[in-house]
Amino acid sequence: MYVVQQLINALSMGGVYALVAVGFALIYSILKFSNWSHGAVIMLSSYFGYVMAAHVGLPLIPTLVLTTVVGGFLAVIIEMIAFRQIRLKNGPIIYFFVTSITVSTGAQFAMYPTVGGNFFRWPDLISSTTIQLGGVTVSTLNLMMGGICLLALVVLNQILFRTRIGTAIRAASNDMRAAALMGVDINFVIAAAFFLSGALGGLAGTLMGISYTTYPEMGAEAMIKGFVAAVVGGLGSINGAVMGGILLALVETLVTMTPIGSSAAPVAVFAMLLVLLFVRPWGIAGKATDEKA
Amino acid sequence: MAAVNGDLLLSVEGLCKSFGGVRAVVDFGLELRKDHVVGLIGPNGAGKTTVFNLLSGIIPADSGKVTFQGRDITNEKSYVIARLGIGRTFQNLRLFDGLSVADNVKAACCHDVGYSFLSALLGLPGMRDKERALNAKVDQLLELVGISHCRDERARSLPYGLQRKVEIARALATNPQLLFLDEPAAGLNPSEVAEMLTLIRGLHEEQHFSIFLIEHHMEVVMPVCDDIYVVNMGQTIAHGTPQEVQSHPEVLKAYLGE
Amino acid sequence: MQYYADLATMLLISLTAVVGVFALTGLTGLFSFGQGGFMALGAYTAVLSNMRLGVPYPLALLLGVLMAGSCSVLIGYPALKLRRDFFALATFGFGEAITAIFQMFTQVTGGTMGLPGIPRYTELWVALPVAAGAIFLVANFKKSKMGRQSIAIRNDELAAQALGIDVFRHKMVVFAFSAGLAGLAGGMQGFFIHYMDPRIFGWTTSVEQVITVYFGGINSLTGSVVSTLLLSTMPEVLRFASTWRVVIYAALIILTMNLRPQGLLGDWELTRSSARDQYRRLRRVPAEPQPAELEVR
Repeated sequence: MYVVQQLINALSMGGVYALVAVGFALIYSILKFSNWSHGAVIMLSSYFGYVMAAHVGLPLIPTLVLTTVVGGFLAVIIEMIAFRQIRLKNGPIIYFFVTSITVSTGAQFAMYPTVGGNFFRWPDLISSTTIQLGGVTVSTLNLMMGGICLLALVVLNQILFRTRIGTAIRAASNDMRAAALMGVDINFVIAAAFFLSGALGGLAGTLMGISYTTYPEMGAEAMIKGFVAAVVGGLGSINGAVMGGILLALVETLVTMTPIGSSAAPVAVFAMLLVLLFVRPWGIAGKATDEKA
Repeated sequence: MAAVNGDLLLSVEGLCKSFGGVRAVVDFGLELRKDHVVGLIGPNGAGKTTVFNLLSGIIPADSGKVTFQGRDITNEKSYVIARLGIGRTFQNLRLFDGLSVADNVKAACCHDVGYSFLSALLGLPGMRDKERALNAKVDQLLELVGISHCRDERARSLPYGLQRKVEIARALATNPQLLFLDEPAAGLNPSEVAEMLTLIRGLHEEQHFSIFLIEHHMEVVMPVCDDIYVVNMGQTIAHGTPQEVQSHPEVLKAYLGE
Repeated sequence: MQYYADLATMLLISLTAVVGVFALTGLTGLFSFGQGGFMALGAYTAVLSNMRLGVPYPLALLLGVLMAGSCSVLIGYPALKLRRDFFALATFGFGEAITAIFQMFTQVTGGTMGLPGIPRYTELWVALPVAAGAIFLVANFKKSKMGRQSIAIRNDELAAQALGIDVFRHKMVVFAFSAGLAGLAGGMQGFFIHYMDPRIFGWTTSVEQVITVYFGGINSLTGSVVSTLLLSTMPEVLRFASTWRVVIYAALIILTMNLRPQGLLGDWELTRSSARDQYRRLRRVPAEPQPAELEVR
């Protein structure tokens, strides 16, 4: 029973991981590279949210909405300064690698001299009560977080499948050149994809701040977990990213409950990734792609 | 044209490959004899480059057997196949950016650079001698293909026709017995196509390379091939001499439609 | 005076590691975020073998190199089969694992409290020939088949493999080579700052090294050297730069990738002929007339 309870509570974390992973997968599906600057968006949005909640005193909903929007714009700005020129000049993919990692590292280290490396606790935006659901004790916090994540994913789904820009994004992820030839404004589509990815990241950062704390390293940590989740689910697949995120949270929780304790969790995550990479390199939902010679 | 009963260099049986639900290559078979030029033609998307990729070890086959000089090379790694004696070019040029023409060709010369890592690091005399010999060989190849004058230029900055020639020089650098040429005349203007035909002819008749050729330009395929295979939608629909294939009803249907 | 000598020594130590990263990341396109782990391995092996087992300094450094090199083979064997992103992640995990392991074995390594009292053997007259030697090796690497094959692999692995290059084996060799150089640099650093702590060499060291190489130009060894010089001395010249060092590095490389992606020196390399050309240009000495020119008229 205890196990089940822990697992259900873990789903909320899974939701957050899913948001990060989906943000990752979105960019990968269009540009075919891993956006290592995602962590910077998550972390910076979290700090912004903290300021809104703790200093400006905004309640939950406005904070969530604002940080989501800010996250989106941050991602677009990052795209413009770190990726756009390389893309337009047809630079090799390794350049993207360098700039994206640099952005995350730079953002993280910009925090230490400015706001310091301390862990910032948020004010209670969500009441810390518990409720009983069929014999299982679930915290309101986890319930709300899970719900918010679910809502975000549903909204994303609607955007991708019911709007013009969403269709354009999906077309570009399928075949960028064909989409461009059919009149799709690639620059705008890419900016839109980054906005969506950043919005999800911003939301994830805020939820992480609310449920835990905000600190400079949180971006890198979340990003790695998001990457692992996205890979487990099949890099480039949105559905896979969601499943990967949830799976990751479940594995983490299970491992934490074993005698080794919470220090084994990162190791277990890595082990899971390695096993998957060697057994089924394209992940759970992705497809094996053969490079065209 | 070479004798009909030369040694069997390359033989393929029952080669099959599917991608997802699409059957790209179905039961492909081939016999290529020494000193022969074999052509592979067919409409776009017929699976020709896939055959090349299967044979040269770029992608794994679902089933089938490939034998080169009596040795089973089915699903071998591509660098092993290259070292065994099959050199290839790529349909979408894959020259190495950041390297000059000469360096591009040198990078492919693995046979002749037999000096160790340690010699390389220390710049030992043995290594420098081998580098000099390598330079000589590369110059020879560039001369053969006709691009000696652009030796030190950045390979990817050359005009398209010359880049195609660099690709060929690079394939030759691996000391092949068999050359796989994937659409060597693609994108060339008529005078360049004629040049390419002369080059391929020369490689066959003077340098005695055996060649397996994918091409769309019939003015290159017909004069130089001893034997032609025609594929459409993964299946081999015809096989024979250029004359036989040219008048084959299935071939005409595939190219011109019903 | 000593201050400048120390500065130069630290610079030369960094250079030793950076030229290894030039070969690995610049020329071959492999992103390793575990170079810090190899430096730590080299450092601890060298320092501990000297302090606990009485191994003399030069031999201790060599042991550090061998330890780093062997570990690179161990982790390279599975990791190099992975794609670029995953390889980077795997090396990152390795680096963090090394730090964690060294922190755990407190009796041996001093754990998080560090290892003080290391004798100071690394002086300028040691670091200079070592760094010069490292540059010599990497310069030869670049000129030889290793350099060409590395660039080919960085450019287009599939084509390189199809032309007969055993890509996996090549990557292993380069990885071990750069790990060895990192181990050497780590060992020297241990005997220089005469204090060791598992957290000194982290993933940020690797990021800084990659930035240094890209800033100088991935095709130019001279670029990496110049870049190391500039970036290492920067914190000394600009006071505020030390707290903001990483952020400045980040800003620099983003500017570079946008405005001059080929790096500071681009493809230019300091060779005998290029030095001669520069000298001529500076002295306004006209170039030798070509035979054809002499025949005009």
